Amino acid sequence: MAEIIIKKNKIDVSEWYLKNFEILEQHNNGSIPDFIKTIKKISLQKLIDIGFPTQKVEDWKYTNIIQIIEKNFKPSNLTEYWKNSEIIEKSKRAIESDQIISNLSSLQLVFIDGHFIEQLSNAQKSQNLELLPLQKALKEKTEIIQNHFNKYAQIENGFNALNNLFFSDGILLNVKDNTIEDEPIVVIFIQSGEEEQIINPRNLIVVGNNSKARVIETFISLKNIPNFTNTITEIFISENSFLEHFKFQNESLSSYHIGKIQTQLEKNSNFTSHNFTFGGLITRNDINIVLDGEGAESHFYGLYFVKDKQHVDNHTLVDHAKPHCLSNEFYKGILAENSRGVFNGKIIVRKGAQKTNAYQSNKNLLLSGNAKIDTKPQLEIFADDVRCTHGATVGQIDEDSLFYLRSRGIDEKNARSLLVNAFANEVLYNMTFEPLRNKVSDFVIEQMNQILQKLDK
Amino acid sequence: MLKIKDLVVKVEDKEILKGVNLEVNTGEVHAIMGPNGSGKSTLANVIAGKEGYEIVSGEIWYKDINLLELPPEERAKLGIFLAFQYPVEIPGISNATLLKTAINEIRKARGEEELDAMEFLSLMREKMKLLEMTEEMLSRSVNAGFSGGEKKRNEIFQMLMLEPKLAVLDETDSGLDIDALKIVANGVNLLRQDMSDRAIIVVTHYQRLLNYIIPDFVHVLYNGRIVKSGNKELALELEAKGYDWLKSEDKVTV
Ligand SMILES: Nc1ncnc2c1ncn2[C@@H]1O[C@H](COP(=O)(O)OP(=O)(O)OP(=O)(O)O)[C@@H](O)[C@H]1O
Ligand SMILES: [Mg+2]
Repeated sequence: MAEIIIKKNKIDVSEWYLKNFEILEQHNNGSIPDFIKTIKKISLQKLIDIGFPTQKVEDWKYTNIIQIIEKNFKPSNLTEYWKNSEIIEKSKRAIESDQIISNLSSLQLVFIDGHFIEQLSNAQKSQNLELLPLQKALKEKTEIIQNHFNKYAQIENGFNALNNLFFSDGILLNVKDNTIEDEPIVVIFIQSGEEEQIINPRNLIVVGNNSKARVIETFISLKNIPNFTNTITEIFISENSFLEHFKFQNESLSSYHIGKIQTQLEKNSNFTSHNFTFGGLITRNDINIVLDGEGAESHFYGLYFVKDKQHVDNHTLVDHAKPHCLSNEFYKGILAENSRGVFNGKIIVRKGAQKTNAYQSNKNLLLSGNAKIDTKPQLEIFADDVRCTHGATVGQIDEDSLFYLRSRGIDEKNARSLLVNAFANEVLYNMTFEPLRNKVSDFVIEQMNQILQKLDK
Repeated sequence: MLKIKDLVVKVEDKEILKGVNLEVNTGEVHAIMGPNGSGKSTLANVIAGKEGYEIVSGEIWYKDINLLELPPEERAKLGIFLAFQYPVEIPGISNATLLKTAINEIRKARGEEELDAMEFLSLMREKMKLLEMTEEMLSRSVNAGFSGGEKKRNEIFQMLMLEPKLAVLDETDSGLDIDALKIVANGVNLLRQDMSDRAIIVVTHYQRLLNYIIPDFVHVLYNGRIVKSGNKELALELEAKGYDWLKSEDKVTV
């Protein structure tokens, strides 16, 4: 366990990470571009200054991360399990049997412990679509990297700084102007679980003008041992373009996961996010967007379905920086057993962002008396001609609905599972990508059946 | 087919049914009438197996089976069906999903094979046509956004799909205009074409439904007891006189 020093608002970064960063630097031996070095240097200082958040920090009020910092997670940059052919084989099977991402697309990039695995990937190249591992892009696509990398995600906490220091790999996706890519791009991050590691995936997605693409990020683990995934995805969408992004947190129930998706929208562009949390012991998602051009539109959909002692914390931030934009947010949560959820939806409407339309809704279903949710909207409105609605609900399975179904001959268990599925469907309906929607819907039913089976024992 | 003996039921410490006796034989149609709050829905719900009622005493026998020991789904599998007075809206579950799941569970219990998608669809189409329902209702969520009349029609549609042995219709006529009333009554009468292993209990406030579904017996449930039983003429009498005259009478059997 790491020696850690906890102050009021800050947990000091442990010697463990500082020491490992030094080792990594020697390891890299100056092979990284200068501007990345600068980012790392600034981030290191920032990490030392701000450390990691305690629960005294408002944004972390309900999520205690001490146990994450206490563990000496080995940075995966310094491990080599990803080279092991058995682990690669195991990963291949895990992907093929994965309920969500198997057989979804011909475009697929796979990372084991944060390292790109070419033999499991298929990053077909076309003139209008650049899709390659970020590490490779840092060397080959310097222009786009210099223009966009680390330009949107601010360091809001120690985890973000940690990612800047230790990021291993991820994707660069550059969709050029006037490109409609129908094939979804699947990005798979696998924790081998051979050691208690931290992986720091990092992705950059840039969409040009009048273009369209769909990206599915998924996180899975091969073993049920404590691991830590600390990930950042930055997205930039130019005028009149559309990006649909999916994230699946499907890691083992012993994993820790801190993730950030930071999006920048230009004029008349559209970003749709679908954020699913099923796995992980502690999961924290920050999904942030700046609507930075008139006519921009964002849609945030989320579903968390957790059980056991899982803790899921979704913080979203929608920043209306320009007038005539629309944001819509709909998050639903199903909390079973002793699980705990946190939802915090912040909407900022900047001065001058007139004619803003902002909607937000968070609905929760508690399947046990021990499950708990803290849900909070947070509105900061500095313009006067604004339409903004929000609402949050917390409830249980409706007894009258249950009786109705049972009176039609449907077993209690089956009826409960149908009702939970119905609750989830309300948000899944917004997935226009049908093959994926069906898979997620089946997954939800199976998850529910597992929970009900446990109740029988 | 159904035998209810001295049934006393409490809800939240309040006695609602105060000793109900009722016998319904195979082939019969019974109407139960009575003022608001007299316990009609309570009786219907207890037959169907709704939780939250305290059965203080009494018995309910269905073909030699002690109903009170069974959960609602088992009762449904035995052929008991309740058309709800207030059908619930269940957003996120389509009518088609509900019916397909229900039919297959019931068929399974009867040792019959599950219906395949084609058989199921053609069966649904046939029944929907009888009730003058549009096919788009199949893909809509159960009762969600349905008008009062549509909900009642949907109950009868489900009934025709499930072909129950004992159907209990709780105020299926309320909220229906005259055309819808006829359609619903026709639906019930379809079930009535084969009463060889079937009985129907119709709960209603109004004689008008009984013009279309002519009952063999009429009972008055008043303040938790069946205070009067008779034939279809009793319904006419109630329509003319109201319930007040019953107050002065003790239990009378015509
Ligand atoms: N869950 C409940 N909690 C409390 N009281 C209840 C409950 N269910 C029924 N009651 C009471 O029991 C009595 C009988 O109700 P019930 O619904 O059976 O009457 P009804 O004869 O069907 O009336 P209506 O003609 O209005 O449908 C009423 O006084 C009602 O308020
Ligand atoms: Mg009633």
